[in-house]
Amino acid sequence: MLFRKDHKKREFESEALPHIDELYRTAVRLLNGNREGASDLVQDAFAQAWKSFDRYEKRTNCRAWLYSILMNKAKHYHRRAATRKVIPLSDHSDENVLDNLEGKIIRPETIRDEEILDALNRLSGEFREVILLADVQEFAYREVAEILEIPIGTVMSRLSRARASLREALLHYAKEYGINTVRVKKTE
Amino acid sequence: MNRSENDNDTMRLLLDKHLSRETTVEEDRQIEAWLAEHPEAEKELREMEQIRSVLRRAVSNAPLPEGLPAAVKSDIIGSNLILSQSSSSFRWYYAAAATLLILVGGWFFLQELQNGGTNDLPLIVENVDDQLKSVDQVLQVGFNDHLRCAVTHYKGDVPNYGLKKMREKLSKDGAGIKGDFSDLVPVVEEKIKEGKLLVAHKCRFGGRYYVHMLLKDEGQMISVVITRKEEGESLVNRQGVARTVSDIQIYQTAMEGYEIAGFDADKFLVFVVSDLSEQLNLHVMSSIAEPVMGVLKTI
Repeated sequence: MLFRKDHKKREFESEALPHIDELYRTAVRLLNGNREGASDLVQDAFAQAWKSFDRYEKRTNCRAWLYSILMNKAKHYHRRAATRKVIPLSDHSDENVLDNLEGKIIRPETIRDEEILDALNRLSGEFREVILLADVQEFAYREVAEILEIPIGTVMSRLSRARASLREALLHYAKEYGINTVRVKKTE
Repeated sequence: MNRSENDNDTMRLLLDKHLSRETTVEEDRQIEAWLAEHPEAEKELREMEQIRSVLRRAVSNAPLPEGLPAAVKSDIIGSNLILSQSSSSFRWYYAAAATLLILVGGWFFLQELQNGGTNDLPLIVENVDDQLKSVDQVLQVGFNDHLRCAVTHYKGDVPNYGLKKMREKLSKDGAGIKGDFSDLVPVVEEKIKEGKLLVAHKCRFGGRYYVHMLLKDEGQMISVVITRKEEGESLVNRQGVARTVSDIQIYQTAMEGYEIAGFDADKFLVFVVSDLSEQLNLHVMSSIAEPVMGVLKTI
């Protein structure tokens, strides 16, 4: 019994604990930069992971498994939060998002960390999580679908809209702070 | 929606797949052909690749909280889901002690038979109860709150509440630990000379509620932590008493570079956790044990 527990602990330490840093960084962005909340979220996620570690299929995809726990915890966190600071783009339909971007490009080389993170904060939670998983943590569509428990088709369409929204948020930001954008000539 | 719009939507999804490196060879060919005819789309694609790269950099540049890995480990150990190294050996110790007791008991029994006597044997047996948490496990309760609140939350940057605010904070029935603990503020402030009392509040961590007072002196932090006892938690007549002050038994251990002293106050457990030396930490606890016990008896 004791050996089994020690073995379990060693496995958890070698498979799960190395992902603490990246999970924390993802959690910070999920919570719009709330570092204290992110610490709590990550601790809760790891406590949950430890509780259900017996059910985790060893040496499969521990990282994706941890992210699925983190995402669930983040959903609960948002439900609990009495007030949530979101600068929504909800008044834009998907079509508007795409229309607004027609013919404009941003100069990403000029974007600073705080600017892009601010743009990310302006996205809805659903868009932010899919961007974080697919573009930042580079999970495959299939993995994102499993982590978020949604169909792959939804991942694809949501990611497409999320990227467009991020570009739009960057354009808004650029306009607000006088950062240059370039309008390119459209080819018919 | 006309055909051209459909084509655009399809291509947008394909371009997104390409960005995520999810396209097949055939789809890549389609994209190449499309981009050759739509240079603005190619620019957008390059731009999105750069945005992804900038975003990855920005997210990964976020500083990490120093105590997080330790707090995660402590969470797991503190929840009694696994045994720490020390508590594992403690269990072995119990097993060895139990075996020894059986042998000693057997020897006395044989002696009795040989002597034909019927005198009662004076035998003191430590309670080897599986439900009773080890001393280290009980002391870890205080350590968990110090690590979570003082180390991870404040990260050394501790605000100064002022005595009035601290008393108010401890008098309220907030954070699930009911009772007026405000009289602890002058006690701790007066008795502990090793640091200045800056924060006193009621806090919650891992589903448990605490009264937490935080003192600081230059780089050193001292936490006085009080929580209600839970099942299996006792620091009465356990082995390894570090010091006894006015009949109060104080226990002490070290975890991850911190010293943790604790005593049992009937309904409560009281801890002093710090990065002071072993002797100094014990001294701090000894100086407050009696007056703190006095305040807690009124609650």
